[in-house]
Amino acid sequence: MLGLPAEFTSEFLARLEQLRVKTRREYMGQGKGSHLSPRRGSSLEFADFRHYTPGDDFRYIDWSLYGRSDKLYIKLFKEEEDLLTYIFIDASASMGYPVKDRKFAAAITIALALAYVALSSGDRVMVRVLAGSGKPTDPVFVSGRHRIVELARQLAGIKPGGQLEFATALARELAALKRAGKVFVISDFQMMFNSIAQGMGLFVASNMDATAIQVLGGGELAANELDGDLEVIDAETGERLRVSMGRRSRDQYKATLLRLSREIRALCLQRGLRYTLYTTERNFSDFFIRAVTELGLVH
Amino acid sequence: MPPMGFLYPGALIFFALVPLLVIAYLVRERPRAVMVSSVLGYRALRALKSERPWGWPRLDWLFLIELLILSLAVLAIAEPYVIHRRTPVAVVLDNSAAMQAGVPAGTRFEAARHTLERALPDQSDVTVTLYTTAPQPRQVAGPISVAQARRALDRLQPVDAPQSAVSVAKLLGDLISGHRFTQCFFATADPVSQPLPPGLHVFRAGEPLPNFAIGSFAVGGAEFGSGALKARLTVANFSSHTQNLEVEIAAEGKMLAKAQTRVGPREIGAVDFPTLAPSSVYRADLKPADAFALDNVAYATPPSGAEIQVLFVSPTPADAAGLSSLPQLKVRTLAPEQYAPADAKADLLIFEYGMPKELPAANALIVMPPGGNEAFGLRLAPGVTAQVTDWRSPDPLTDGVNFRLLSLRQPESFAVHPWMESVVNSNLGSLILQGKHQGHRYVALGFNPFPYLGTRNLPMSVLTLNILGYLSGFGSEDSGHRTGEPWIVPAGVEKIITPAGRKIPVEPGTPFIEGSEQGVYQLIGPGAQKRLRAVNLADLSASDLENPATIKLEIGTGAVQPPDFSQRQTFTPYLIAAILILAACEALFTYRRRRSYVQAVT
Repeated sequence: MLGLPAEFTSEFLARLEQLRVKTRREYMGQGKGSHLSPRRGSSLEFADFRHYTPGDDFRYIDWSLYGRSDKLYIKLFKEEEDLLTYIFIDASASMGYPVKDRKFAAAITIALALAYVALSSGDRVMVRVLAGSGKPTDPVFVSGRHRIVELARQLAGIKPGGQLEFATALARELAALKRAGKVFVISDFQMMFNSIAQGMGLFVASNMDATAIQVLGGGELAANELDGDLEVIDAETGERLRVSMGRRSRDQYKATLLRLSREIRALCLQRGLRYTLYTTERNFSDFFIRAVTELGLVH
Repeated sequence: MPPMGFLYPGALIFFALVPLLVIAYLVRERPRAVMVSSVLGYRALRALKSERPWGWPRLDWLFLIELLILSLAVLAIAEPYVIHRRTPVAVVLDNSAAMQAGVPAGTRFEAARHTLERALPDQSDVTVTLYTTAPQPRQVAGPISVAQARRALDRLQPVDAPQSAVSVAKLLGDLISGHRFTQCFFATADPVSQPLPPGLHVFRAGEPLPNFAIGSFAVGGAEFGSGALKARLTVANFSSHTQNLEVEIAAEGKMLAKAQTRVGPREIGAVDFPTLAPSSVYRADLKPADAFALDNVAYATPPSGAEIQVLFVSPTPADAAGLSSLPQLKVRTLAPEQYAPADAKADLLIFEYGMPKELPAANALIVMPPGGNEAFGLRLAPGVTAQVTDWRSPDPLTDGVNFRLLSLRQPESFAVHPWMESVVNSNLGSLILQGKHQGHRYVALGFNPFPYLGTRNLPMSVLTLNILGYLSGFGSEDSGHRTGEPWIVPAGVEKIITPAGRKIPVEPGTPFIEGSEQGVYQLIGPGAQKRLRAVNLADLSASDLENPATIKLEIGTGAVQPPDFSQRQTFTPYLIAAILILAACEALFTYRRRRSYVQAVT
């Protein structure tokens, strides 16, 4: 549909439109929106009092407080603004393997779904691709749900490739951002745990409300096609390792991957971040709807 | 340890493939390169053998099975074998009656047995085949080990029957010239002709002994239909001096008569007892006693006092009317179409104007049969028979018959018969044929003597009585039945009890071959009817212990290369079977692995 992934059916889009991005903090936006902002504004959400000064709108004087204290106070309300949503997609070479699992396609699908949720609720979305080949996306916010097609087209031209220094790349990206907001990081996190910890720590330091979405291939996790004596080659570093794969080895390998996932999840929870795992053999629509809370969305 | 070897040892060079295969396996094929998202998950896995030079190789059952199959295949090509050496030995033990004669240390048989047991070589590769010689040579055990042969020898006992020197010589000839045995050990009391062929070892058991023996013992009546009994014995003196021989006849434990005769050295005498009291069994004892007790005793039974059952098969049964007047005869008539061989349980069968389709299993009289009979082969001579021309005399059939007064009504003559002899001849052929077949007596008449008229036709009546007496066994010149000789089971007998008390079910008309034991046999019929039959050694050649018959061997005595009984046993069939089993296991293993892999992927 209009260059969107096959999963974006009418029903699925309708369900996405019922969602919106939820943050644990209040962030200043760039325009009117539906998210409470630290700015004082004209929403119904009470924020504070301050002494009346000439020129203030009489409508905001708290007369009951004047009666008790014989002083004039003005009621301040929070402003409702749009939310700046950042979506970081890992397009390193590891996202391209195993080829059959189509991890990067799954990552793009997730990114577009999240973007559609944000755009349809009036938020601004910036999609950044880490590593990869092809024309990089522009570091600009887009708004309006119709821009999802443009985003899809841009992301379709990107192929996974190259090596990703996760923390370094994120640090560079974050340095370029002027305002904090909601962050979605979509990656397979097939990297050293230290790098993951550093990268996720940058979001905390930048006052970002981040959600880590780990994408693993179904075949990658089961490794059933790997049997016998193998020389496995790291898609990013080129490192070669000779192993003998059998049933026990596969079990051991799978346990290692799942342990890594558990450690990332624990890391995110410790730092007040969200985490969810998607394996490509699962039905995407089903996963997305079920993982609304874990993704940091709300109905 | 038997010698081993390879039929094609050059094939063992293929064993070089085994280490090559092992080296190739250890060196390993180049591992398959697989691009993965990250090697982080693989770091904890076990490294390859090539990265751990001193570690154990990865165990691959398929490789081990294939290695084993290759090794077995190389061995199968080389055809390993083992040579089993075999030394077959034949042991022939004379178990004839003469071996019961005593020697100072025991009987000849025991001496012979011990000699053979000592002579057997104590080699593990020796296999023994054991033969006995009496009443007929036969194999009793084997091939068995030496220890088993000794035990089998211990179990053997001599029989009361003589051995046939001709049969024994033939047996020895077969054993020696048949190249089935490396050696043949023969223990006997009889001399064996010299020189002996190579491989034959003869052990003489016992020295020549003087001996006195009863040759024959017969008790009978004077004539058919008479109740009087008489006995006649022949006694032999196998010693170098004249000897008075005394014979005692006893019945039911009581001595009935005693007689004495003087018999010269190596002579045979006769002792007659003109009158004997009726009894069912008579026992004769010869004195003085000697080293061979068996032939000093003889048994006899009188002609059966019971009625002789006659089945008269005729389209004119009235012809049998006169026969019923004869004592001891019980006549039953039957129409020819009613006759069935299985039902004809009688001592004597008379076929008038007819013939059975097959030879009856009983003594039979054929009266004026139609020509061209298949069973008897009787053919009528063409032409009209005019008169009797000659007859055989003396003969039990013609005894006392005045052929000149014999008037024959429309007689027919028989052509020459293959196995029946002519007793009375006419101008065209035979008027009376007499013959024996499978222990039964048959008489064919070209005229009809019936009905029996008694004194009204005296010549024909005498002839009829002679024929009936001959066919019913009366007045036979036989001295009774001899040990070791088979005899035909009479009609109506279902079971025979041997002198030792052994009960043997029998079928009438079939040969009885268990009569190797001297004594009185009980022939049991339906309704516990009992007939007695005496069986004696009655072979004076077996009793001659001073000059026994020489066993004449007709075998070449030249040096003959002993046959090689080594047997080469190859293991190739077993190896091929093992290869097939392993291949099947491998196929099963591979299939299961592939199936589990497919299940895991799907």
